[in-house]
Amino acid sequence: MPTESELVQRATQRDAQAFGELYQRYLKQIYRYIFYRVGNATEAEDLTEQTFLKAWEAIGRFREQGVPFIAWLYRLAHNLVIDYRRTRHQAVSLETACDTMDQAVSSEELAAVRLDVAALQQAIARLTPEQQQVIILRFVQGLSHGDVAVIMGKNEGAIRGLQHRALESLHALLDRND
Amino acid sequence: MSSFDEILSECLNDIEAGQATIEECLRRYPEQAEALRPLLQTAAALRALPPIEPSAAFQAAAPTRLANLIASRRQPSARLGAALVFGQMRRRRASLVLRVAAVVVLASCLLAGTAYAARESLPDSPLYPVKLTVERVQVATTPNDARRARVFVGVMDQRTHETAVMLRNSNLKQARQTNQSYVRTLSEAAAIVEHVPANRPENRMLLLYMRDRLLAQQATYQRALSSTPEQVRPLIQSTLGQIQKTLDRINSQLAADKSLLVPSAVPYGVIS
Repeated sequence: MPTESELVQRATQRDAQAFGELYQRYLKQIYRYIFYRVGNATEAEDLTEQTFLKAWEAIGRFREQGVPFIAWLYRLAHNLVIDYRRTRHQAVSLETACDTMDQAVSSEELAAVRLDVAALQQAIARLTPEQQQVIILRFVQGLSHGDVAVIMGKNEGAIRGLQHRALESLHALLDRND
Repeated sequence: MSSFDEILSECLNDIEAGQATIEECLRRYPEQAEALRPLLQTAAALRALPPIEPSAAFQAAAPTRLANLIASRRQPSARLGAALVFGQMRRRRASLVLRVAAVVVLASCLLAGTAYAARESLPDSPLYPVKLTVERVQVATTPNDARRARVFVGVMDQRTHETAVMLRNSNLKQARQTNQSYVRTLSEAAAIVEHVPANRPENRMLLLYMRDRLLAQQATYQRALSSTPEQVRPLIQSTLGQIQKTLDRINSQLAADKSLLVPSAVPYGVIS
């Protein structure tokens, strides 16, 4: 199986098959990231496609230089979500999202938080874009502080501070909903 | 970065790695426990979110859609290139637009005629690539998963017929190719219907329609099997196995929702 680096190298030479393999590898991660940011499955699918389309258009300009391909994809996805928000000027719709989810918070430790998934998503949608990024990348995608720092173009210390503020804001929003 | 940020990060990492529970972390830092607790609980709730995945239908259709999007993005630059060849674009914009429009209309008419002629073409015909292109365009331009599944079923009908004819004509190479294409399309259609809940009338209609067509295709393949040379026989048998597997799945989906087997207004006892 070719390594990511080999695939990226071939894709930068406009090798559609190599790009297709990268697409298969990262489709779900990018979709999940966008889904939690826009809160709507249809919009998430559309924006996921656009992310890969942008990636294909710009792949010739991609240079690794310490930034993994997936980090570059997350940045493209982030920019598209920001554009989407600017053009839509409307609140995030969550009805479709809620249809697909079930209550996953069940342990005793979590019972006190009394969260439901929809409330959590609505709260995430009300964070600042940077806070949303750190929350989704760290806790939904399960990335390390270091990986999040690379993706967001910040140092790890800044990510830890941002993580703290994001969790505080999220908790406050959830508390208010209760 | 404050020391609280560090403590929070340490606790989050330890909990994520399974090296500590929330309560253990709070006991480790009693002075910060009050501030830490809600943050750690919120993080735990986030980590407990169910994994979200794009729908199977999206995943199945996405590569084709992306390929079409990429292709459609190429067209503007190609048109721009053609326009630049015509030259003097700014000065003659209006006439150029008219010329391009005329060319597009003419090309569309020619293509429509060719596409019509290609409908019944077989793999050994020069028009066969046009038929495949028309099918790809149909799939790509069908906006709805249920309708797309029906388009796939139509394509499968075509591939079944073509495989049978190619086998009859002992054209084994093309029989293999059309059969391969059939199996690919079958898996795309199956990916769509796999997650279709049968408790909606329109979905149930789709499942019944697909079952009908699959049974007809199965019968054609079975008939073809008798005249299939030994070296291609395993391929056809494997295809028959996949058809049967899809049929079994559709049947179990239909059986899972019994509410629609009997119209709700009719008492159950009336129907035998």
